Amino acid sequence: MTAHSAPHVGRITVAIASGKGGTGKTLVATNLAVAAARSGSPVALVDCDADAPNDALFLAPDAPQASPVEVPLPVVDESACTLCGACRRTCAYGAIRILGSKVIVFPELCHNCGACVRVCRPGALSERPARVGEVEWGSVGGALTAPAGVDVVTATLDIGEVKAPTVIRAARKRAAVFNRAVTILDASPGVACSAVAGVRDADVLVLVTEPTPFGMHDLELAVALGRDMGIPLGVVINRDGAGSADVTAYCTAQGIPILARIPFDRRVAEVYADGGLVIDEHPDGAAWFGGLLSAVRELAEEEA
Amino acid sequence: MKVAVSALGSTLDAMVDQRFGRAQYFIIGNTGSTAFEVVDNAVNKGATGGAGIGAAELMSDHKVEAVVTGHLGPNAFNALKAAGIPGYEGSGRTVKDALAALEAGELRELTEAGEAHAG
Repeated sequence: MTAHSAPHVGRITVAIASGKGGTGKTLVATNLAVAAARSGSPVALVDCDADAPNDALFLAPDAPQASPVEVPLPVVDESACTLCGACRRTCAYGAIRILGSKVIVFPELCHNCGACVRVCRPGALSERPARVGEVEWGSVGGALTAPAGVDVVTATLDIGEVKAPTVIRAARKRAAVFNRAVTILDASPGVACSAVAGVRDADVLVLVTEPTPFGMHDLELAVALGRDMGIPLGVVINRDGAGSADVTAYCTAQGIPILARIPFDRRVAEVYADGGLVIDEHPDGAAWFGGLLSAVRELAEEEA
Repeated sequence: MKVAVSALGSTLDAMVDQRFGRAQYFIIGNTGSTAFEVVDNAVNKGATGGAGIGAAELMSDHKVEAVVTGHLGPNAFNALKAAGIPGYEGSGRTVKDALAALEAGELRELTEAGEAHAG
């Protein structure tokens, strides 16, 4: 098989998402990546939480490489501009304005579509690349993940920038080059653009929740998102035993499979807080994440 | 001098709208004159983003020379600055009072951007 061969039936892309933040997406994504590699499947783990990526704290690649993510931003040549207003009439986002007697571009509103440049008859507008973030990647392997390895790809949005989906798409493109048997997408919290960019086109959606009213509320939103996007989904209940929300009853009523339960356990919190892997450092870790891997594969096969 | 006041209503007796970008109306008056023009700001008020910038552009298009409002966020402040239009703080007054107070030099110029409002 070559690196350029088409994805075959055995390849699977799993998105790990949640509505609420802090429910355990990273815990599940990193440990599931290790479980999959140990099962013999080469893994690409993509940290799509571009505002606060942290997968690499748990799985740190040796000698990572990095590449900037840039978008085309219009620039105005004032000497050629006739203030005709065609650019501002064309911009659907109000990102290009005429103030005083100057055309001004507002980068945070610009969606980088290039329409203003195309309608500028005097040729006063051109595009320059503007950096919005970075993609970093590298391999984790050896005894930790043997027999296979994990390529960790991290999307990082620059401070003050807003185009997280652009950076997430760039990270996923990088991971697609690896074409691993298993791709795990650690999505952003919430159900807005960043989360959508992280889960789009996944084969299976794993929703990590906690049994609190807030966790329950946001799980319902995440389920609605997953169904809207047509992705088969299942739930991981983290901190099972804490809180008052009956996630099990909800999932039963909705016909949603519960893929794994991770109990509310001090040891899990300790290992995670220390940057460790629960799969190795908790006596039940291998069973939890091995079970989750099997459940995810079953869900993917059912839907295939 | 042509002055725009962000207003909650469309008359000179309306109160100054605290918001600039999402103000209901702008009432544009001229110092030394009782004539005024009402500009509906509905387009920017309902915009998903860039309301402050849009309102600043509206001021620029109307050749306004000063703005009286309650608060200017960073985008609105910088856009008005680019257009060379100073902003003044006139909350708690009617439009008529605000115009008179500006003429009397009683209003404080907004020399820095206030807090940003999402959206």
